[in-house]
Amino acid sequence: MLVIAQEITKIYWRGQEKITALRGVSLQIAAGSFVFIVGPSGGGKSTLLHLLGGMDRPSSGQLFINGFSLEKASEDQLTRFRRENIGFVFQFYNLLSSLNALDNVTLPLLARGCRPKEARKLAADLLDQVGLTSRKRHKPAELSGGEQQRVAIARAVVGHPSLVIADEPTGDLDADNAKAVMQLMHDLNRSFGATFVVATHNEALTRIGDSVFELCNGELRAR
Amino acid sequence: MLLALRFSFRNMLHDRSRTLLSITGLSVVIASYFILSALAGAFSSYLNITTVSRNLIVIQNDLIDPSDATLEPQVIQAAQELIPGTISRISPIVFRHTRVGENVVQLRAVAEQDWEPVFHLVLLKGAWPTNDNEVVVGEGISLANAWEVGSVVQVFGCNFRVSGIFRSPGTAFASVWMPIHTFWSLFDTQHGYQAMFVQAAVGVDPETVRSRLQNDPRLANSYAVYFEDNYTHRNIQALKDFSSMMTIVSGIALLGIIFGIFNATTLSTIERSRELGIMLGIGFSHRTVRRFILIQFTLQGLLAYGVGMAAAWLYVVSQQALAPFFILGLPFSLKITPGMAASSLAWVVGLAFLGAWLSTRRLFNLRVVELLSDS
Repeated sequence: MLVIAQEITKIYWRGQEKITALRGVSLQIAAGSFVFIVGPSGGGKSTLLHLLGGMDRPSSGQLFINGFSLEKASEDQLTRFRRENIGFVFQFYNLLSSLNALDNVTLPLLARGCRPKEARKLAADLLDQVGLTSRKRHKPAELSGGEQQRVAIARAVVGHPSLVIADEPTGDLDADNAKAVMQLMHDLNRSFGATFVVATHNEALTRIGDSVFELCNGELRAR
Repeated sequence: MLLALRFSFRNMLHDRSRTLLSITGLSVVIASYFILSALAGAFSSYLNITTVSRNLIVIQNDLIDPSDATLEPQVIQAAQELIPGTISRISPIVFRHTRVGENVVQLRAVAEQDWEPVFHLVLLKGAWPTNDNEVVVGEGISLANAWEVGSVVQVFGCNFRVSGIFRSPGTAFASVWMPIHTFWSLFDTQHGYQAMFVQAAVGVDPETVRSRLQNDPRLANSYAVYFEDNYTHRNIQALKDFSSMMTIVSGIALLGIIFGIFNATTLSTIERSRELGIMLGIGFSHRTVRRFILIQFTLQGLLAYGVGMAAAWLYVVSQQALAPFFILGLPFSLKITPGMAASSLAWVVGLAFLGAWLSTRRLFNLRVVELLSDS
């Protein structure tokens, strides 16, 4: 199993108010699978993805990704873990506005210490693969929403992570673009062998998934 | 490092209007620093007076304006009695502050034979006066008024020909000198004097001379005896205080860089917090992200330094060429020296780095999710 979560709880404090975002979530995800997490807004999807991506730590419970225990890891260890194991895709693309598409995709490779020339070649190949050959030198503001999300997906997979986390990747796209982006991620899942965990509102898109989990009020159940 | 520099330039170009605004603001501060430092430096060299410490000045006590002083004959007599063993030479003097040309100058008159040995006047051009209608003028005031040998100047309603131009190393004030008899007839002062210069004999401690004169009953309580350099320095203390004040103000101006960079960095990191969160999420460490920011804003400080120094240099050069300063008739030369440029470069880099470092401290305490949810 790539992901093993046992009785994970996540509690936030908003001033004096205690918010329990996840309540005893247990989950196992096999390597190479394409998994959907569905559920209403505020149900805890993003919180779970942040934990799986090593961007946050659980309040209690155990979480192993690729054999690495996240709950007690230091900030430096989490950084190294993310660099070597995780790719992110966000709802609003989250590309760096000052960099063009090619430079955005090279970032994870540069963070790993890859030589710039080599990183640019790998990034250019991947942009070709996602259909953005002619848009490499364009900055995010010059790209459509669908194109930006394809750049973001290329950035997420360019370092060959074992786990790609996508938080509402089609939330800001029209139906056609949403379908195309989901298909692209599915294709990359098959060709790269990376595990994809995708949070979405759109139930219709979940048909291509290997498994679907529903997260509601911080409680997870398999469908 | 190359990656950080590339990021920095990309970010600066991306936010070019903000970058331009920050650099302009900082460069104004840096230009002010340079101009104030140049002024302080000019004052410092202006006040760097070398006097002959063997000279003493005898003048009436407790005067607000030394021009009001009078020197009684018995005081001259007291000094003359110490010649030759204790005092080698005495030189009574008269002076007035009066308008000559466009400047208020000190008009001085002493016996002509004392001008060089006692007052150390050095003739630069022309000759010492040989007629009653001739004067010599100081180098500074001649520059300020474009007077040359042969020019005619009006003093107290009478025309005088400039017979020579001199340099007076021991005197900071612009002055016009005339023979003592010319002064007496011009002002009808009936052979009176106002003060007296006394030169200690070779081998005699000037303090001994000062002490003997000061304790003479003919001087006691009414006259003070000073070393010439002490007296001169006492007179220029106000200018020295002004110079020190400018040095302090220029230092404060430089400290403004910390606040400018701190402000620019804080605004930028708040606005770009989501981007910083993405970089951390992708796998850059907090340390690396912080280094990118530090380099970007230190670079901005450096660019501002270049612009500020160029602006200050242009100002100094054009000011010197078009409208040079004269203070009390002496040329006041502003200079931006290599030493000043080097030390301020070190300060600017250090302070810009400190401003950015202080501003980015909070980055270390933020988790990736906090940065991503900040925007």
